[in-house]
Amino acid sequence: MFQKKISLKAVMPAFFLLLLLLGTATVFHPCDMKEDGTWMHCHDVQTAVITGSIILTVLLAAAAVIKNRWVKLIGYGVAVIGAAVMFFLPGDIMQMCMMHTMRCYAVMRPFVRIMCVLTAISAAFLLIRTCKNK
Amino acid sequence: MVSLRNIPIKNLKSNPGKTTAILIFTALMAAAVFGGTLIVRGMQQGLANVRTRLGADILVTPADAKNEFDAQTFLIQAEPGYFYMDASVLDEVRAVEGVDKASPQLFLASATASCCSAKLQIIAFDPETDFTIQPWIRETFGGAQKLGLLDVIVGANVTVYDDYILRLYNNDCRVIGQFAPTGSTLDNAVYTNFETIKVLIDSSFDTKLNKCQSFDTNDVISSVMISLKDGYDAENVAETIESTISGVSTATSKKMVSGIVESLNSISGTVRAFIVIFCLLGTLMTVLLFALMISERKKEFASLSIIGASKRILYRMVAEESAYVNLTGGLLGIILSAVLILGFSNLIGQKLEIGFALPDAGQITIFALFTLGLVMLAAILSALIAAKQVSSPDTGLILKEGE
Repeated sequence: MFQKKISLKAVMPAFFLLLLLLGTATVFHPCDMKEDGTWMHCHDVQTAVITGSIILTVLLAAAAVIKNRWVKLIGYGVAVIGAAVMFFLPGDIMQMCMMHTMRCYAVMRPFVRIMCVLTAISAAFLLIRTCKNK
Repeated sequence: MVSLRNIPIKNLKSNPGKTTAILIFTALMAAAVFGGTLIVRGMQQGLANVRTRLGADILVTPADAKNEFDAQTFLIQAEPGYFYMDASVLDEVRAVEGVDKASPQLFLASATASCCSAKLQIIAFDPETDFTIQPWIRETFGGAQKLGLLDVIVGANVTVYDDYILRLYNNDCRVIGQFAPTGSTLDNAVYTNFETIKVLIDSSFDTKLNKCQSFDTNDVISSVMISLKDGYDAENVAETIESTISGVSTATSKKMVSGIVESLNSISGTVRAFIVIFCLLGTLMTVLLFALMISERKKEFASLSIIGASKRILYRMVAEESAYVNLTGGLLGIILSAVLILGFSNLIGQKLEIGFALPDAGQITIFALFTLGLVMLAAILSALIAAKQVSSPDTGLILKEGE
């Protein structure tokens, strides 16, 4: 049922998502709390990105370790779509703060987008490879 | 099947360590040259944008607004603020010798937005006399735009989500357009006419969010933008204004951009030095590593020579190996720095504390091609030096080595 050997390529998308998860929660976090103690809109985007990253990381990890071809196809396919959706989360699908000079736009959004592109490319590569290996 | 065409790639793959090292150095060199050029050009573009958009030779503000208005930092790191002076200053300024055009502006800062902690700078201009914002409007929208009551145009950094409605002091303002980025604080403002800002100021008094005491909005202005007649020196006219009109302070456009010019000179000098250092080190390391890689394969070249490969074929093989590895490294470096600089351009501009505006796609492509050209020059140099080793004549001696 499980792969005996897991190649580096097979875990790359999960690695990128893990980086996205950790980065968005720490160094590349969005704007801080407002003075009155409430959160700004971008905080919801951070929560959505972190939740999405956790789900996709688990899915990709399963696709990397489980031998079944269909699990791999579904895992990589969902990861490509999920990364594409997460790319548009900050500022397009979900509202963020008012100024592009604010941290959520200047720091979090570019980081999320770069990591989503890397995840989508590496997952798409694995998806194509799995499709070819019948 | 082995053919002459795929031998160079197979050779590179058979030396993964050295090939990776050359790739890393070439990528670093390309990233430094392309990224550095992009940053320097971005700063120059920011300065040019600010100069164009400023549009006035002198800016007159109330003398007691020094806490709110610093001429040297106004264009690069100003916090939203507002200050007022008597509207009669406008006529007094117009009477000063050398003044060609004078147009008033009125400022207001918005209350904190509901979504976040952002405050907006609201700048109102008089469409009858304005010569700084309306040219910008014409350039952006391809013609004049008439602003009605509660119509606003927003700067490039302002985000509007809710059906192009911006809520300011309980008034729903209609966003009719957005300016292109300039890389300065002008991108953080909202532009409107006097009619609208007077409604907003009155609303700010009604909601008790205005720090000033209530006044008649018809009697005040915040600043006067001045364009001079030909042949008049801005510094002299500014001095005359300060000495003849009481309670005002002046800032010339030269003084306003001087802070940016100083930062630009110092930062671009440092970036250029880094580009040169990375370029030289990258070329040196690429040449050395490639020469080392070729020198270790003397027996292979001697064998190829014995089975009939001419010197021309060997040279071609070496040149192709060098071209492949440098081109790949160069492309990697360009893509890496482009992604980082384009993605984090807002952050870079903020950290540099200078107007930063990315060049257009055409210029970026030219910089990328220029960088690739430099990387390929390093490849040619590597190939020329390595080719000397390939052409060492005595194949017999080489093959006997170590026997």
